[in-house]
Amino acid sequence: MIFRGKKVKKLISLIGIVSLVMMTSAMSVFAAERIVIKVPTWGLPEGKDYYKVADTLDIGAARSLYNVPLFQMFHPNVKIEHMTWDMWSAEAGQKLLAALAAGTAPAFYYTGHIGGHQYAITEGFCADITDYVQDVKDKIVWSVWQDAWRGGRCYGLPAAGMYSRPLAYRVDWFKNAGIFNKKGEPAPSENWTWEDFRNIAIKLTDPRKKHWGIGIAVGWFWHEVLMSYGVQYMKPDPTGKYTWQGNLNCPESVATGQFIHDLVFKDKCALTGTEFWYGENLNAFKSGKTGMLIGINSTHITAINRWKAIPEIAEEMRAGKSYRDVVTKYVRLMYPPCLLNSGRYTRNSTRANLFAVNPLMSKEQIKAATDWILWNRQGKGKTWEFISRYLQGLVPYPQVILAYKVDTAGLPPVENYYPENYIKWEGKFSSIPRPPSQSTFGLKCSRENEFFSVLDGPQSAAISIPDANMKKILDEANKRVNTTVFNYKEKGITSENFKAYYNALKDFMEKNWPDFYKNYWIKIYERDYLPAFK
Amino acid sequence: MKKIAGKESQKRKSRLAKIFMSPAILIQFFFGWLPIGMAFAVCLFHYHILKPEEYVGLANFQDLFADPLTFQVFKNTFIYTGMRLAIFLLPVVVSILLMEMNKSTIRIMMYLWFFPIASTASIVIWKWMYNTEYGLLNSILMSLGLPTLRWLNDPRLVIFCLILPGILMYGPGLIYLATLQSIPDELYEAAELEGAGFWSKVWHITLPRMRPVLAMMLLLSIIESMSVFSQPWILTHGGPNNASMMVVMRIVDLAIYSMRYGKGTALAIILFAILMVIIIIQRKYFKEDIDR
Amino acid sequence: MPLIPKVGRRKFRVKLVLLTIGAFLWIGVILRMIPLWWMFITSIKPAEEVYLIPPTLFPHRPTFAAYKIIFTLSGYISSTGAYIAHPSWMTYPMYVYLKNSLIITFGTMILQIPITALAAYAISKLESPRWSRILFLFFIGTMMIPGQIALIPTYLLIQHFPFPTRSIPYIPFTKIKWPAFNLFNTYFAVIIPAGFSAFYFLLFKGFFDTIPDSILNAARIDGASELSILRRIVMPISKPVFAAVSYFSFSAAWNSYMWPLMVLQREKLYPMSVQLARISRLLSGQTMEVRGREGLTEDLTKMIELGWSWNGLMAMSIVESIPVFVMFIIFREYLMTGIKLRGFK
Repeated sequence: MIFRGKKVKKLISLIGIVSLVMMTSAMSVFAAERIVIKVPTWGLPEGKDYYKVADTLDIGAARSLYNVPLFQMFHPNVKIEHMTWDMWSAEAGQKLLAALAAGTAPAFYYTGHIGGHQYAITEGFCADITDYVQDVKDKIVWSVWQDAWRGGRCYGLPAAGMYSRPLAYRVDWFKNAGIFNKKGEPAPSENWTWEDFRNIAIKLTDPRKKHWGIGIAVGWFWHEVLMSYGVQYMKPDPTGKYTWQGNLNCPESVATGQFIHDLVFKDKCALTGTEFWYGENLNAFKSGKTGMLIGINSTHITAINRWKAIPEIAEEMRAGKSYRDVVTKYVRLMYPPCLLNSGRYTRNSTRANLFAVNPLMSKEQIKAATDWILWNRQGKGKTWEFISRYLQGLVPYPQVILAYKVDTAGLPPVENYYPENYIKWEGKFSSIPRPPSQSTFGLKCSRENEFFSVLDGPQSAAISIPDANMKKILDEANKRVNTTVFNYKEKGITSENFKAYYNALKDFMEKNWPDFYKNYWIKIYERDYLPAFK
Repeated sequence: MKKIAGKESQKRKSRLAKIFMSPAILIQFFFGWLPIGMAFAVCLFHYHILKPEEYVGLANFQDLFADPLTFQVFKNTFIYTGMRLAIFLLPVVVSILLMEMNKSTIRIMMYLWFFPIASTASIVIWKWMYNTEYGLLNSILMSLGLPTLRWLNDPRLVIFCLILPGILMYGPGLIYLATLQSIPDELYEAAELEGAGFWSKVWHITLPRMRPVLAMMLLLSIIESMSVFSQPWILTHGGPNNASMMVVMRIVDLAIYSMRYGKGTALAIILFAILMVIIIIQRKYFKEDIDR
Repeated sequence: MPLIPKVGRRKFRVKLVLLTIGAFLWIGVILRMIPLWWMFITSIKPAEEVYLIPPTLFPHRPTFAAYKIIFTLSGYISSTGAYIAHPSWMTYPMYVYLKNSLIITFGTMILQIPITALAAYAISKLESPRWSRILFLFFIGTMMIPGQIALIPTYLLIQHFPFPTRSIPYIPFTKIKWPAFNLFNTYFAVIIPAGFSAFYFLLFKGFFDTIPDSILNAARIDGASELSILRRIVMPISKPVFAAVSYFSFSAAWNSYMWPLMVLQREKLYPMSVQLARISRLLSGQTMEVRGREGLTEDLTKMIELGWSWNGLMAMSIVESIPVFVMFIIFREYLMTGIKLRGFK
């Protein structure tokens, strides 16, 4: 009887809704006891399967499993939760962005596929962790860490190791084609140029046997060639109306396009195609169709352990399952290394993937996440890994060359339990000169991604249109960039920033490659950069 | 009296209708219109993921119209749509011709002509067929002594290559067959008595009878091919020098990969306007019902 | 019914025409079969043979190794003896993805078909003309708009239904957030947005419009309730259209790619289509390297060393296509007995 009548019904439903709301809010109050951070795991199965893996004594999995209680012992107010997170698939960036928008992103993540670390800083995807990294400032290799800094604040940490990109080639093909260096080894000469490269590629090509000199995938090769000219993709707008201008139609860029176009259509020594992305390139090399390979993302983990080789020093590399007997080697590419705006592509110099910490978390969570990253790479977590490795004698575990100086206080010398190569190359890698990062001088470009999508056009034109006029194509692309992409002014960048950065770059060039600087680079400097801040 | 009763029953029916429709209305509102409305609001802004958006007015549209690529993607999409319309007739012709075969042949052929393949699978198959080195197409050409083609790498050829995966996928052939079988035999018999030949029967009886179905499928085919995405996305990723870049792919590229969400939405609105115009024209000149 | 009359079929000219038609049809069938043959042949080739030039039309050493890999693989022993249990391109064996696909597909069908049919029936038979015209536009209006533009708002909506915003708004004048549901990373995130489909709505409405009102009115006069009319009269007549929509719904849900990819982030939940496209893009390296972004190439190296290349991909394609084919055979009879398509009226 009581429940009759519309008003009463409405009242009851109102009370129901209000109590539901109160309950949800009350629950959220009680839940916040310990600081919980959601740590991404990738490539590890979830739940029970995870323990199965750990039981097989896969040291990586086991370590990441037992590391959690250890970390929590030292940080009693923190709770680590694993969260399966797709870091590397083709759609990883897209997923991460959406998750950031919705507030469900993990505690830290790579920034490589959400537009690079610079873009991520500009858009506010990276938490400011300056206060939490003061203790380790001198324990991280600065040359790879500098991209994470902007205006004196720190926005990220190196993910793991240092990378560089060499060229791989097949020794037997070099022998057959009669290509020897001065020492009489089948290898390119020490100071080789792109013309030498072209000649070698032509020599290696044999249409009857279906042998090609080189495989060219869209994107990579272009960067390699352009970098060695010492130019950058964009330059400061000399008129001062906007911030950036495209630099796609400079003579060096046209020469790059022409060079690639000639390799494919004039010299006919390159295997390429639209669907010919990185994987096919690697396949072609491994299945004995191309003699040289550029643009392989040769992390040092691959270099040292899988392919048994290290750039600049040739060692044996095994290429694929059925090609065990083929010997291939690595050599370095042409100097000098130059930087793209964001520091994503550094040829012949080291770089590292960077982690950003999720800025949507509370201060305590950000600190906990930073602690966790450092714990696993530099701090106690890594030390314990060293100890367990020492005790178990499990030395040949794949190991990248870390961008961190690990805390080994109280342990026997590292030499006792680490591969010899690691020690040798750690020093070498840390000392490779690396140009200054634009970021540390406060420079940024928030439409960099759109810019690169414009660049895709000329790049694929060069390898697919037989009668392409590269100058015309690049002119058009540059016009497109200037009218539709870079038609805005970036906040907080003045000509002072430009001046500071380009002068630092100038000093770097002068110091490391004085000849190249005097004969060549200074002209580029005067042409592209100087007008903007004279 | 009767009129009032009719009104009363209509009212009751309407109330029942509301109950029947309510789940559909809820889903259509929340997952159909709400996100689209929000997306349309965004085209006047620079939308950032974490920072507040900035109002820019029509700047997104200006950028789009200043960009020659915008016109190129529309051109590509129109070419693709045109070819899809050419292929649109293939299952119609096939099903009309199939009717001439004897019963058992129809049964077998129906399977062989119209059985479907999962869409991702068919795109992946063609990607493997087109491979310039190991692909089947080039090796056939080579064994016939013909010069090999560069398929997906040829900017002039690539857009034609995008068509073929659609043939492997589900074609609407079964629908046409069903429609053809539902045409009453008497009509043909009557026509036969009047001495009508094959063509005049097709022209005067079959096609008019199929008209509602054809109109519907045509419209769907236009909408589908104007917003084609997965074929170029998986096969070429835009192809040589943007030769196979389609509108929706460009939208996704802008909104998600270049992170110009407002600009991408602006392009989507332009596409929407063009689609609307096409649909209005199609509705005006290709009426559906013969009985009216 | 054949258009060429039975009587004249013995004449030479007519025979020639029939022969030509038959030849045309058979050649078409053969052309259509070639890719499928190629797919099958590639899937039973060993890894080395896949990259042979010229390609072999019949494998020298047929093997089902590729199928074995996709159904058993969730880890392998590396050359150093360590158990590498997690190639991140395929953490689970194939049947996990197959299972996900089936759950998503049948979940979608179970939700989508009744909801859409009821709405179409209400518009067609129950609603007053004025409202039905307005609601009709409301229902089919979204068909014309490319769905990709609503991608991000729908994504946000899934995260805290029913708010398509960056975060849950506060209840006015308080510091309490509105109650919201998180559907993310559940099958519901794929199933619920597909709960209504404009195209199937059109199909249903087109069919229901052909049912004469007089039958329904007669039943009403006899005192039948609307529900029993629906159950006893409308449903039995509409079997063919339900069959057709079930089939379309099945293949659309089975083939859906973009949306599951967005809202299912755990690999344990991926459907087949996502997994296939993912691996295809990984194999041709069309991942982050498209823009020269850094990608983990370890996975690829592992994959190739396992002897997995296009043969595995083709095996996956076949496995993905089998359910579509089975559904085709099941529904074929119904499809044939009557699809009546009506357009926008």
